[in-house]
Amino acid sequence: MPVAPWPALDSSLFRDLYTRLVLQVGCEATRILAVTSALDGEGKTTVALNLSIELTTQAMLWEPVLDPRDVLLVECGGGESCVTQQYAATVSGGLVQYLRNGGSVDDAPKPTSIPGLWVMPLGGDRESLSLLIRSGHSRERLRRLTERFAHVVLDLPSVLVTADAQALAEVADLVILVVRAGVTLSRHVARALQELDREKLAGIVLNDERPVLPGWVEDRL
Amino acid sequence: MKRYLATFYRRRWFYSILLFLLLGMTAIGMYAVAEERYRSTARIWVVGRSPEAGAGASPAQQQLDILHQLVQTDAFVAAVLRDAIAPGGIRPQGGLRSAADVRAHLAYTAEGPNTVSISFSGGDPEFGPRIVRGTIAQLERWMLESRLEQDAEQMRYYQEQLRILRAQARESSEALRAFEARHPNPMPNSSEAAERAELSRVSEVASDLYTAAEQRLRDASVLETGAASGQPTGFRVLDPPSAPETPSRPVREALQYLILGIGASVALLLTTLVFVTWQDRVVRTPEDLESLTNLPVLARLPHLRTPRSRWLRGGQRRATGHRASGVVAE
Repeated sequence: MPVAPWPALDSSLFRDLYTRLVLQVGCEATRILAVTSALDGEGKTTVALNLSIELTTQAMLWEPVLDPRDVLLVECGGGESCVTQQYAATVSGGLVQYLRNGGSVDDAPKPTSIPGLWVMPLGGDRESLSLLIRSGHSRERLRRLTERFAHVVLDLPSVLVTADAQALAEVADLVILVVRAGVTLSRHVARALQELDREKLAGIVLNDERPVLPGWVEDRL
Repeated sequence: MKRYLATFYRRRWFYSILLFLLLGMTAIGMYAVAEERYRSTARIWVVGRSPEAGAGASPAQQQLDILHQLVQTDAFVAAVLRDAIAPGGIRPQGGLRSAADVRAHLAYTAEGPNTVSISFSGGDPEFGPRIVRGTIAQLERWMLESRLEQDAEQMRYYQEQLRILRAQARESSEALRAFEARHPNPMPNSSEAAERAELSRVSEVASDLYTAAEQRLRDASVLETGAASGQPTGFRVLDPPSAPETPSRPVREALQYLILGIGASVALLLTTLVFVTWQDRVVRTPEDLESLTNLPVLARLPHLRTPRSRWLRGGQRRATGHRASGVVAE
């Protein structure tokens, strides 16, 4: 049964994100894109999911003959997403089983109601994932996913909460850092950037932005 | 500037309520701390005719000018204080220490062309009327002494005039007698007769002048006597001062306290704003991120309202039928 994805936000917001990724960092050639944040609760899972939806839409729209053209969203312990909520932690065919046992890239991913978008739940506990991703085999298996999918979006855990994010970020071609306005301290952002490879950082997504002043005041300043 | 405004706008209700509370507490505190003041007032009627419109100062204004100049002198105010303290030697509560204290709280104003009001506000309700009575008494005494001096000067002038005229009358009279002794029966129409007539005329004139000057001196003596006996000095007390039963709070002082309170509250609020802004290390805008990281901001996702607030505002639910989520999903 296809997994119903988390309710999507306004697609225009993520179309802008996609456009900037394409224009500024050449995302079209990017196969593995990681989304993370400094701490929990900053919206990285929402950004990862909606970016995946947008990538799928663009792939379907502009690359009808591209093969492969599906997009895979991999839950790497970033949080309690709808995928985990709808499936028990011991679901078979998740990321943990895939990294542990190997097997075909067709077994673990689950289809969704959006054509072309697949999700791979965690399929186990985070401790197991932490042990698995330290090995080179696991990273190689993650890379193999690109044989089947045009884009793989990794929903990473928080950088300052666990070192798994740094390990998984090494697999990615590009990393996006999500920062929540009005919540994240500047020193946390700075520390998160120190933990990540600056070469792979594509940019920052500012989430939950609110106007600091009314429009008529802004116009006069 | 923008950051401070943003800090205020972010918690505008909190800061507004805080300012309101500070103003309220300041007002209550100032009212409680403010010294109660008792105001005692007297009114006097100044004798004199008002000039035509624009022709000069009214009697009340002239009296005010005199009073104002007298109040500026320490001797006058010290005499007022002596008069006020003298009965029983009781000093006022609240510590009136100097002429400056009295001057600061003594007020006088013209209430008409002939009416002047004199008032004193202080912490002691019994002392105010004594200060006002003392002021009126000293003013009266000063005016009387001035009048006496003026009259004495006039008297000396008249007396000098009288002495001169008496000498002239005596000389002319002696000249006439000496001529009559040399020429007892001058022939009519002779030069001796003409000279005798001239000397007689001069003697009469001198005598008349002396008599008139003597009368004027007599009249001046009557006035001087009258002034020394306490006849009208230029004003009368219409409304004597009385001890007030309830305190009054002058508007001017209340305004001063109010302005001070408002200033203190606003200053405290601004200090709070500055401190909160200085302490704020949270990322809020793309500019904050770009200055911190030198990385591009790829997207700005706006704050979306929670489902409850959306329902309260009559917003639409998502067509999917899923429970609508907030922006931040984990």
